[in-house]
Formats: sequence, structure tokens, C-alpha cells
Amino acid sequence: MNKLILAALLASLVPSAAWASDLAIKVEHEITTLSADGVTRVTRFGERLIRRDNHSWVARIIPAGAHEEADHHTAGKGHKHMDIAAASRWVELGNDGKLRVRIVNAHEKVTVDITPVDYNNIGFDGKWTTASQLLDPEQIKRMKAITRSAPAGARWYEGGTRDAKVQVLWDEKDNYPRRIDSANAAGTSRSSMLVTREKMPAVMPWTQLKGYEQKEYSDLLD
Amino acid sequence: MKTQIKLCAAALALVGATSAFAAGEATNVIFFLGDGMGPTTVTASRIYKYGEAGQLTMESLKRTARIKTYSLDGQTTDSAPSMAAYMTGVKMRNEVISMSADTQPRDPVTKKNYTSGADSTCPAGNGTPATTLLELAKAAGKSVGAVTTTTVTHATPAATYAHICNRNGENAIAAQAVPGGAGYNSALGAGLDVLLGGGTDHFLPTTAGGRRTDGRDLTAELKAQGYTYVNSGSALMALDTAATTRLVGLFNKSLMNYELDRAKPANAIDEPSLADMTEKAIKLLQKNGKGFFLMVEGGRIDHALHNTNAKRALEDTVAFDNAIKRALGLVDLKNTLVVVTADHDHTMTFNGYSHKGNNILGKVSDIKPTTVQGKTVLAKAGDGLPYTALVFGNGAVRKPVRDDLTSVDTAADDYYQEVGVKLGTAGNYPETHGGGDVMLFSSGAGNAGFKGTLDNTKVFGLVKSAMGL
Repeated sequence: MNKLILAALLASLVPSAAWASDLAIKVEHEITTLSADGVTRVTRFGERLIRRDNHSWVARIIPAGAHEEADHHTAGKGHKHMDIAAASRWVELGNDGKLRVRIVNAHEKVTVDITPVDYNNIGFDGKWTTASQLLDPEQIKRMKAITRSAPAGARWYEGGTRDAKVQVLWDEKDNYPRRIDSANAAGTSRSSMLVTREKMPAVMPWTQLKGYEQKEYSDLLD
Repeated sequence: MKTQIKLCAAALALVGATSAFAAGEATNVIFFLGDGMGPTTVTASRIYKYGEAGQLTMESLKRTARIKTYSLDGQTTDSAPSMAAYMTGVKMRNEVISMSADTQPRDPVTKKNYTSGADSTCPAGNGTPATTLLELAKAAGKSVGAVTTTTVTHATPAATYAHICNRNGENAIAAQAVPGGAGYNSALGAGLDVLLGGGTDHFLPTTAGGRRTDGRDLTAELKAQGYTYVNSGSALMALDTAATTRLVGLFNKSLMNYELDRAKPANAIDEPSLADMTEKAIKLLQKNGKGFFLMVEGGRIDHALHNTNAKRALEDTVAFDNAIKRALGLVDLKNTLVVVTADHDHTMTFNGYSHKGNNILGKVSDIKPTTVQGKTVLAKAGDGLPYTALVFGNGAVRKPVRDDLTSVDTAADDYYQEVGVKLGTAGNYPETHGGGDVMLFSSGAGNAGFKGTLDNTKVFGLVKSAMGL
């Protein structure tokens, strides 16, 4: 038999590297701080993360009534900068292991390419693990398993320093944090991140970008 | 009698000279533009590099003036009409590059920009070109050039050699610089003599990885027109300016790197420094006995400030100052006018009562306990947490809650200063420009008029007069 055909046949039998299974989660943050002036401040916000194969999409949850739709249309576009906060972040992992990172603004129908130089400017740490599963599993390996009561399929881990403790409820099957609690020793600051599994959407948001203008981060600057 | 006539003639000559501000003294002009480099940025850069009592090179220049930067329609301007005001003497709308005052950058009804991607869709009859200092110099037989750390088609350099209704049409701006091709700006005569900076994107077609939609390779066209073309720092440094007639250097696909990153050997970035680009440009342009007009821009001071990343802004300002230092070592101020200014301010502010010698990028120190205890004691804001000396009036939201900066290294490369007014999520709404006046420094031939508080359009006339044009 032709060596080439044999090689091709063998190649087709070997399974390609399997991607992690689909993940759609709602992530809710609550941060409470007590400052020296006696004021307690509570900050809450939420995001949705959708992951399929090598694509990750994170979008802020904007509660109804948070801003006026009309503002988008009448706001004067006197200048280059994007008018609206909280665009979505789309991260794609390439075959070469390199990331392609874009922020997507649905109202202006614009996608903006972000190079590694500007990751910090959009608050992205450059890791596929953060984009696809919120927390690098390597961090769990550095933490201590504790006996805090956990639901089936998950386990609590603890880490941090003397000044600030962190506890993570790790989903052992699907490899993502179901909950992260942290607090400082002084008791003046605590935060919790709660993750809820959701159904995958019918269409992936990164397939809905037909007709969007493509820009670079430098286009947003003067 | 003869003596009286002589004295009268001398007196008349003096009067003429004063009112025309020593017209025609400057054979050469170097116009340095620190983009967004307002007074706080200059002060902070001085402290960063030379301490409170130190001096940046730009501060050694003899004349100073204050410049009002507002545009035709903006209380706070952008780089397009502000640089164009310096270059043409005309006040125009935000986003317009060196055109008449009636020019519109977007459709007044639909509000859509007259651009499609990086292509221009400026309609015919929408304003007329306004002549620039560079064009006047070229017409007088001088050599001309522009050097920048942004793309060579960005607003500031574009305002020296191009005319367009909307600054975003960078593909069209690039074509204006290429003699013999469609869209060439014929007011450039035989063409620019030097053009250095970033932006191969606007010179190469999409098929070659660029952003041109007309299939043209402008670098090939420039080479065919007799330009030497280089695209790396090492190639530029190896260039023999004596053997080069005219030069285009494009050192990045888009904007060049910030100096802080460019200068790190570990990053292996082969881009020239602004000082090196300035030196090569001057050496090439100086060969013309009739003189030259050169514009040098520290273009990314502005970008670092938009990102509320003070460290990169200060490093780029020092790099810009080093380019001024390098230039002063290559020219004779007896026949060269040197002007250093900014197009507009930003919102960075210098606050708190730190002790002298405190790290300008650090947290504000509480001067009394610091002096008593002999070690830095941090001042606290109303919430009991420390704050940095440099903060911004507005900018992006980076953290949902204020960090305790006590153990944060605020002098780190990627530290982003806090902002007063939160404009939006990080990356989506960088900090705005500031509307405050900027400083202008000047030395050399024909500098007498650079004093007092001046509208930015007035600078055009002073430079033009200094060149005798």
C-alpha cells in the first residue's frame, strides 16, 4: 500500500486533542469594604462566560433600566473613543497556542483587536485558563484541601496569606471555581464570587458579528 | 548730516526688525511636538529624570509662551485641528487635518464619519486645503521632513504634509505622501525628503498584511521614486546619510513601541529611538544649502496618558527631551529656530503634600511624620487608604473597588493611576484630553515673538516670519 495513504489513514484514526466540554456560567461578584471613615461600601456586578472549544466570551450583565437605550443613538460622536462601557471580551486560542483577543461593542458594531502590549489596558491577564475557566487550575494545586462542607462533585481549598485568606469551591469534574470567598484579617474587606451553571445559548455570540467593523486598539487613541 | 541719516536708517531698520520679529533669520526650523505633553507632564518628567531642582533640555530654551489650544468647535481639542493650527494658522473643527474652517469631518445629518475603515469618504467640495509651513518651506527650496513615534499618517505628522476632512482616513493620507501616484499632494513638489515613524499598515495592501484596500504597495512606489526605504532600527542606524537623497522609514505595522518597552533588550524590539530618528533626519536634511523644515513628534506621550499609565508617559517625555538634546548638538542656533510645544493637555494632575525627593510615581507621603520619623509615612485619603501623587481627572474603570495601595508598587511599568471621573470599562473609554493651556519653549533664530499667551494659530505666523516666507 502507498506509504502516504497509510500515513493518512493512521492520522485519521488518532483523535485530535479534545477540547474541554462546553461551559456557560453566570458569575456574580459582591465586594464589601469598611473604610477608616466608617463607611461600608457594597459593590455588585455580574458577567456571563460562554466557552466552546477554543473560544471564550465574557460579557457584563447590564440589569434592565441600568442605562437608556436612547443614549446610544443620540450621543454625539464628537470623537473617536467608544461611547459605551462594558463591551464583551472574546478570546480565541489558536492552533499555535497563541491567543487572539478582541473586545466587541454591539451598539457600535465594532470589534477591536487587542495585542499583548495592551492586555493590561482591558484588564486581561493574557492566560487562556482565566478566559476559559476563570481560574488557573495550577493555583488550586498550590492550595490546601479543607474540610468545609461541599456539595457533591466539588471540594473546598484554602490559600492566601496571613493578611488575606482565600477559599475556593472547585468543581472537580468540569474544572472551574463554583465559588470564591476572600477576606482580610482586619475584617474590613471581604468579597465573594458565585458561579451558576447555565444552558449554552442556541447560537454562539462570536458567530453573530457579520457586518461589524474591525478596529485596532490604537484606533481608539488620539 | 551723514551721521544723522545713518542713525535714522539704523533706527528705521531696528523698528522694521522688531515689528517683523527678525524676519527671515531662520534658515532652518525644527518644530518639536510633544503630543498631549501638558504642564503637569513636563514637571513630572523633570522630577522623574532630574529631580525637583533639575532641568529638562526643553526647559533650557530661552523663550516661553502659553498657548491656547481650543479648536473651532471644541473647548477641548484633538491632535488634528491643534497641530493644523500650528502648521496653517487656520482654526478648524476637531478631527480635521489642515483644511479650511468650513470643512466637516462627518456628515452633519447622519453624524457618520467621512471614513470607511482607514479609507477616506470625504465628499468633494467639503472645504479646501490650507497651506502648511512644510509646504511653504518646500516651495522655497528647502528640504522637509516629519519624524514621529506614532504612524507617519497619524494626525500630528499628517497635519504637516497632508489635507483631509477626517484624520481617520490614514490610507488616503499615506497616498498624499507618494509622488507619482494617485492622491499625491502636489503642494509637496518633488516630495518629502524624510518621513520616519510607524504604520506600514497604511502603505501595504491587505494581500500583503496591510490595511490598504486599493491593492497598492506604497513602499514599492516610493522606492521606484528614488526613496531609500528602511524598516528596522538597525537598518536606519546603518544608513549613510551622505549617500542618501531621500528617506522613508517605517518601523512598525502600526504605532511604534513606547520607549520604556523599546529600550528593554529582553524585548528584542528593533525600532530606533526618537533621538536616533531625529539625528538621521537632521543629517540628511542639512545637506540642502537653502535649509530645512523638520517636525519631530513624541507621539505616544498622549497614548500613555490616555491609558492613565503615567510611567510610560514620563519615559516617552524624557525620550522626546533626549531628541531635543540630540538636535541642539547638531544645529547652529544662529540660523536655526527650535520650537518645542504640545498640541493639547491631558487630565493628569500632581497632588498631595509629599516631602521633597518623594518618588513622583509613588504614593503621597505625609510630610510631618515622614520628617519626624526619618522614613516615608504615607498620607491617607478619606477612606483611610493611601493615594498616588499623580492621578487623573478622568479615565477608565479598572477595579470595582479602590485598592489598598500600601503594598502595591505604583512605580511599576504597568501600574495605572486612579481617576476622578470614571468614564467606562477599561480599554473602552480611555482618559480624555485636557482643555488647559500648554507651554511653548523656543530658542534660536527668529524666536523673539514667542512670548505671552498666544492662540495656537498665531504660532504659524511667527514661524513663517522667522523663515522669511
